[in-house]
Amino acid sequence: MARQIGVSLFETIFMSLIVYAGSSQILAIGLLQAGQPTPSIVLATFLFNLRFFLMSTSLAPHVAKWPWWMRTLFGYQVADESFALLSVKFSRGESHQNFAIAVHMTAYVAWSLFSLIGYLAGSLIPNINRWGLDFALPAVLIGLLFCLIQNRLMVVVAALAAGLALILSKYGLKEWAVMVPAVVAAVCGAGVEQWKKHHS
Amino acid sequence: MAIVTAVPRVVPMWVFSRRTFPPLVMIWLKYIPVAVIAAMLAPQLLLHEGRIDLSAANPYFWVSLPTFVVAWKTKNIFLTVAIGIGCLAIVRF
Repeated sequence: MARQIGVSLFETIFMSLIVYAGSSQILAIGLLQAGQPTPSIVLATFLFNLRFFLMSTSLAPHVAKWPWWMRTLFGYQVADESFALLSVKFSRGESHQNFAIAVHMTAYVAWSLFSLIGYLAGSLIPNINRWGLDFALPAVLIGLLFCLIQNRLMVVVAALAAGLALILSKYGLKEWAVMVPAVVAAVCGAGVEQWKKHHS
Repeated sequence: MAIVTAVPRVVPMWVFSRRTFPPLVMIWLKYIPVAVIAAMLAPQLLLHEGRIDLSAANPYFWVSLPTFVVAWKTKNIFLTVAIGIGCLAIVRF
């Protein structure tokens, strides 16, 4: 994708290493292609990445005992898929430090490596989508979602977040479509759980 | 670009790790992963070219149905991914 619009190999790899945010990189390539000015690309990326604020906050209590530099590196490598995987592990009480770091490191190295391979091979494979591989990420998220759901209330929370995300995306507020639905749906979930406690 | 992607990720790790949250916030945080994943998924599966499309033109939606069933019944991520990719490949073939 980067190659098609004239971004160099070095720039592509550098971006993967430093920015390390797949959806943001794709978003940025799209905006570059549309001829958007740099400040608006950066702003869109920031809004788009506010969802990581939620993810990091959610993971933070599990890594409270780690030294600060480790938490910094760990936070820097928070990503959609590794967040989902580690949430499953932490919710089961399997919070081994080495495992969590290994997950993040593997994802980070693999991301950069495959940016390189992707850039070089992009023109060799004519249509990768034909093999259904583009569905890998949604399928991973579906699998992890069902591992995380523990009760009916969580199903309701998920449905609410999904509905809100749809509405926001449909009306062009894609940057907000993870952050806002997640906060609202989780507030509703916590509210209902608390209310049930007081009335049982 | 690096700053705007790093700040939202790193700052909570510094600020929130050293404090204990009130119980209600902990309950709230428990719902965040499910809500975040659902919010990321829904537009990918249901929107096609900017609008909700449940027709044959949007195979992601149709392929997600068996994928959901496999995920729900087996809770096995590898099997879920394999079935999902396989179904999409068959649909496109």
